[in-house]
Amino acid sequence: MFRLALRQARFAPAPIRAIKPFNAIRTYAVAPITKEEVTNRAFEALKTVAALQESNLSVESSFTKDLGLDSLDTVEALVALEEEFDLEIPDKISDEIKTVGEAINYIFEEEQKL
Amino acid sequence: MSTIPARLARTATMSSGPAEARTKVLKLYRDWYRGAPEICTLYSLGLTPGYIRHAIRQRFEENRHVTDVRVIDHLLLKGRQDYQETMNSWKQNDHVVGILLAPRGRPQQTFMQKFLEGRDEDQVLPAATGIVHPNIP
Repeated sequence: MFRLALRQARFAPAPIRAIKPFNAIRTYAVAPITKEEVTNRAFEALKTVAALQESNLSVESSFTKDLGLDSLDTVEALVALEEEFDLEIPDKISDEIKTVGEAINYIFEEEQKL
Repeated sequence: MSTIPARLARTATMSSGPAEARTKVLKLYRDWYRGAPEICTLYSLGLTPGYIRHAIRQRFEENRHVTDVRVIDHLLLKGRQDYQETMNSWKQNDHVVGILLAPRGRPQQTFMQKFLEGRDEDQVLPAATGIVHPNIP
């Protein structure tokens, strides 16, 4: 066993001590969020709303007309999106949002501002 | 933690019409719905925010049939007061669990219980109060 250990020690490669060249390009930890990513996360968040669990979501679908939500359900859907993206949609804007796409557009624009 | 009592105080206002009352109701519902996680931590209830949201939703559904703007304004005032009291921690745990969140519907009764009570059909909700506005479905 000792012989084996000795042999391994003898043939162990010498540690590489090359100096890494200085990296002049600045890299960011997180890439800027894409629209596709916003859409996917929004759909995931909307699926948690009880009234939307069974429905077919698409960007064009209107909350009240296509998805059959009442006004309180719409509030719930928008708050679910707020919690997912950690932002607060002001009351005036959330009254105007009628479709899933409008909500995604608003969130995407807000994320760009960060 | 110190609270600013006037933070959530709202003056009692009269809505100009059903549309304005509707936006106010939605705003109140949004505030309650957003505040559910905070209520959980504030009173350390051991309930999920989802449960609180469900209970609040039921409170709103109880008054779905109300169409009279004056009645809606009154309900809004009471809702705002309740919200202020809850979020400022002016309530005790029992007020929240036993009054605010307690299920309020009539409990399920057997045929015999209804028979002995003298009625075999549950009371139905009134269809509408006051004037029915043609604009609001």
